Amino acid sequence: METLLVLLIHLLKIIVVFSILLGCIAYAVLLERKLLGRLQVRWGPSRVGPFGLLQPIADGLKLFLKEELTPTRADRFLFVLAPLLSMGPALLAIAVVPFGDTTNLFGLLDQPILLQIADIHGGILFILALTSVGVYGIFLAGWSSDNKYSLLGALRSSAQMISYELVLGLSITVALMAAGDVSLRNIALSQGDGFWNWWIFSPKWFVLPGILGFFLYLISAFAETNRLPFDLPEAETELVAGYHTEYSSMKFAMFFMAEYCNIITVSCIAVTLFLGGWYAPFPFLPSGGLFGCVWFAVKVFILVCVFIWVRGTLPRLRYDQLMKFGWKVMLPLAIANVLLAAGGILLYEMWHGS
Amino acid sequence: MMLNALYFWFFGTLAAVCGLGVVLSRHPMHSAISLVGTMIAIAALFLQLHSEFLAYAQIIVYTGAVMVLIVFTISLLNLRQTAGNPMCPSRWWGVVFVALLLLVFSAYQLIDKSHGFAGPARPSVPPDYGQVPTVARSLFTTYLFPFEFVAVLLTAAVIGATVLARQDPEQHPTEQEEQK
Repeated sequence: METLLVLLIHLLKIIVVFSILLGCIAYAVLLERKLLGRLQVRWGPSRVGPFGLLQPIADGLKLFLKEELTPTRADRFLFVLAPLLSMGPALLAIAVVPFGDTTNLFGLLDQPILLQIADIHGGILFILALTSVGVYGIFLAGWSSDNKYSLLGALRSSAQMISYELVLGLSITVALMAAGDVSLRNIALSQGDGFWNWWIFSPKWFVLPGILGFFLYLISAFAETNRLPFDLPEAETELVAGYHTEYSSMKFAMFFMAEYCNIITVSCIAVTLFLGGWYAPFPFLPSGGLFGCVWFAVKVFILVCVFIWVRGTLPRLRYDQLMKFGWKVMLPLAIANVLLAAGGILLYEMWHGS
Repeated sequence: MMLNALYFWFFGTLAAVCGLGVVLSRHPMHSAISLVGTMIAIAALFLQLHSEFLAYAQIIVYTGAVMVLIVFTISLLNLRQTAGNPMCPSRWWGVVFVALLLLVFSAYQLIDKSHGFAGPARPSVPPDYGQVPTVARSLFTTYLFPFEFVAVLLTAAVIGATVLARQDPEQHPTEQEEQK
């Protein structure tokens, strides 16, 4: 009976989190179109439903009903596998993100439950492993379509993702060193209420490494999710639509959803590592239980808006600029930042004698 | 216990099937992708053996970096027309021989420990065995010298490869410059 209840709670958590995530993906698309519209002084979608709120449903129907095309010379098996490989890891990553502390649902349950699907020890490494598998989705999509634009897009994207993965890993290291753990829940717990207790502004290492680490993470996250200004794999002026040129209907929709899912996941990780997870920005505001989820959602929402804002503001980089920037600017900065943070933590611990 | 066995059989079978795919696929790209599948399945088996860090490192390093490079190379080779059947009769003999050898060795290992076919009893492991902090601590204390030594060795190898692969423009004028 006891194990059955535990299983039931886990199943419910999975269902709730994934339905919210899928809803968020659908509405992130609408949010992007609306915000981009505002940035370009126009309305954005406004005809379907009040304020265009039913637009995601219309988009979904359109994609479902489109004709499914497979190029004759495509590699059938890999052509079908590729969208699954980019969608699967993107969705899986949300399983280890902690949305809040514990809750007993206003006294409904005897024992409080964790607001997280799975609290695994190697949380952040699990996510890094998933992103490295996600590369295959894009690469195989480009290769199996047997189209030169697709292949070029795929080559660009995998080179870009491998290069920026290094910076991503090093920028994360800063928060890991400060927290002394790799479990996402423990990293979140090592911060606290009040924005000066978050790792981005923490005085533990004289503030600079936290801010630098956060921005390095954010920039490499733009590259990892193939978003403007790093969306060279799908640069329409050069490559038609890049790796997903030959995809249509639901298979295209899966790449599209994977992109937005990645944006949300990357924002969740940034919030957990640098922006204090579920903790409130000021100590007098509540952050226990479900209040924590609200703070978490607000922070993720702000970061997603930043992603859209940057897309509406910056032009695309040239490919050689992108590589030069990644290897000659970002990587040395990230390594220097790790050393700086290590020195800061050492000094702090010597000063406080722990 | 039931779930444990199910987990093992699922990923064990997956590893074996993908391993067969590596050998039997006609196209090198399919072989490479099968190898990726094998690596992920083996990483899942590492997780069951309490080696969390090893499992993630396996995926990040092998599937995320090494195999991506291999796939990269295959895609640039343009291997649309593959050579005929790679499994000519003489190769089958080699396959059978190696398979038998492995079978004998593993059977010997299992039975020799006088535990029957169940294999050696699982030694009890400390609760933090194989987790990231434990591995990190031993890497930076007990095994610090070998760890740093390997790092220096790998860096030297990378620099060496770059120097060898790089064409010195003064010694080897490119075709364009020759035309001038």
